[in-house]
Amino acid sequence: MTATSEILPWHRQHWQRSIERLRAGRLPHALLVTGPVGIGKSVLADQLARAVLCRAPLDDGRACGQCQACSLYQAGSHPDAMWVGPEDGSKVLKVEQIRAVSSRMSTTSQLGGHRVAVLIPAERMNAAAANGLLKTLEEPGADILLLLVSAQPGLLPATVRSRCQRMALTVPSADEAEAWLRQRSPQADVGLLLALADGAPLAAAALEGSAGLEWRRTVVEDWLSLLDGDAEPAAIAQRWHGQDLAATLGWLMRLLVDLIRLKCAGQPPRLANPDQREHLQRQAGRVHLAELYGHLQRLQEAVRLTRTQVSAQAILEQVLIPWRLGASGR
Amino acid sequence: MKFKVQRENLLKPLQLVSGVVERRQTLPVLSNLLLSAEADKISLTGTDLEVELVAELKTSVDEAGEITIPARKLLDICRTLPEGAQLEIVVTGDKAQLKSGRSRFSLSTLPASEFPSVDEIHGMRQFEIGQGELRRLIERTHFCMAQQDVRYYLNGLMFEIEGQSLRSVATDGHRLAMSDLVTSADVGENQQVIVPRKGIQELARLLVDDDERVQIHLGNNHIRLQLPGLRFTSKLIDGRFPDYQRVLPKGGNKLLTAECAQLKQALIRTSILSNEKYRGVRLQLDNGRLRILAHNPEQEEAEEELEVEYQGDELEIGFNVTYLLDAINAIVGDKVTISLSDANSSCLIQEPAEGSSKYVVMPMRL
Repeated sequence: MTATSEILPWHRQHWQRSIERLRAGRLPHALLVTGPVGIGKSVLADQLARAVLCRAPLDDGRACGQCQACSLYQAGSHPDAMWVGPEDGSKVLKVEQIRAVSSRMSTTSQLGGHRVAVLIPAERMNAAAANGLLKTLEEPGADILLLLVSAQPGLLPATVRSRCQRMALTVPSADEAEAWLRQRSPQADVGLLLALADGAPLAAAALEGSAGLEWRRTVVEDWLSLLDGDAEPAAIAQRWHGQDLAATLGWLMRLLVDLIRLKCAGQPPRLANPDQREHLQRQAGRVHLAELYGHLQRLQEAVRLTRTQVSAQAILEQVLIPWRLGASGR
Repeated sequence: MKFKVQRENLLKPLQLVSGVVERRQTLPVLSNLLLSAEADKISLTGTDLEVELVAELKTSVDEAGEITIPARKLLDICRTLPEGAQLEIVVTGDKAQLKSGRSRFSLSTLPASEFPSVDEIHGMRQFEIGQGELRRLIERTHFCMAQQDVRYYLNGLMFEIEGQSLRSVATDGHRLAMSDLVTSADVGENQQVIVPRKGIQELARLLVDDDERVQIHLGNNHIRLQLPGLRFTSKLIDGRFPDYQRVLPKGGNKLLTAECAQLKQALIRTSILSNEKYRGVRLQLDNGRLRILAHNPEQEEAEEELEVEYQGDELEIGFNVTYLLDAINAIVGDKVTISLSDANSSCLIQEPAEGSSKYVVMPMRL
């Protein structure tokens, strides 16, 4: 966390509104910050939390980064601020963590200002945790701000959603995103990065020169050779095992969706993998659309299974083997 | 920063202040103490984000400064140094050097700016009362505080200022305790504050039974007590305490007066065979006689009979014996009066001569 980062250009409108409401004392007690992965939801939540706590905010509402509240926040020891995420090795926000939030929110503020808690990713609250939060959401004290950050707000119980005001962040326009990314990394293939990140600028920036990008290359190559019948699904699953499963499935999903696009539109204007257009075109000619939708269904099921205890190897094999069957069937 | 201090002078305040620092702390700076030196004194601050303790002691300071150092380690070092040892603490760069005789220690530090200390408190009003008086207010009521109740406003002790009286009230929804104190100074406008459980426990540990005055500062968000050489600050619970006046039973027409010690012993003995979970005992009242009965799921039974002052109709009523015992234990004097009205109404326990404390216990259906 840097001292006072600039407000991201595509957040400016939301930021303006929030600051106006804060100054007017009309900030709601709970905000549900939603939007796709990689557009800076947590950045905005962080900036908002700092701004609310800062003693001497700048003219545009950002935290000063100098005052006692700001230096405590940066050290992670601000007594009225909490960041709550899944603890080491856990996939969920546990009820104990939520109880700690509720109990902190039920006592008065230590530094005499707002009390802020950021729950991220909020949809990871298990049922008990979400229910535990209801009491605080329903009867908040004065000057409380709960920031629930979630890319999948649909997974939150309706009881929680209905007690928060929604702040729906969206993917910026292609021009805005490209301009921002180009300024950040002038050397990069901005178009490809944004395409791979579904237009989410922060995700694109994180991809640049990362191991993730390297990994995608492996996934694409393995997948193409699987479709060509040159590789065994079990061997690929073995090789992919131990890598970030969600990311791997994400790349597969993009490839598959591109195939469907090519199948339906012939020459679609945009692909999620623009650099693979030729390979994809070739493969699209060899499969039936119905088959692709079968793959899609299995892949969606696999994504759901990543949130459970099913082993990564099993999930991967379940996804990969049908491709092989399809390939050998011809 | 550089100063010298006698081990014995440092040890006591260090023990007190380290007491509030939580042992298992995820944030390193919170397991540290804030150490600041100026002119001719040093101060030590410990916090768990709810309760803060600051101890001050006079000593010769060569160079002023502020830093945080690990509480536990500093305490362990001080404790294990030989008696009468002289300590010198020098902070250079990000290390704190401790020297004493032939011992040398180098402790890691964190900057003071990362330490969340409470400097000023807002909306202040202050008054003074005797340390022993405050201690008694707490002792007589604190056991009725709720523990981790979802009704978070019950997880603490409520202090109410009304004219010249200071009152403490605690309840967990099954029983209630209140105690009054008439202060010499008019403390002004009525006000209620709820001090969290943790703060009350800490206070009970700190206050001693003497006539020394303590300064109490009440802010919008904090309560602060100035004790000799020690400053205690706690957050408050942000909620409204229930209207306890409505809970006090009125019109209890059946008055029972008993010897405290006798009643207590009888209850303790009966409780042995009461249900371990529900702790229910049955009281049967007759003219001048009280019978206490208990039985448990194993069909074991206890029965006690004692002579009491009671005139009136027969009455049978059940109570949680722990609640009764807690209240009777807090009664001062030889006798206790219990007013009852019927088997479904709560009872009021107090000292016979309109004492300063009152206890309300809800009955149980047995």
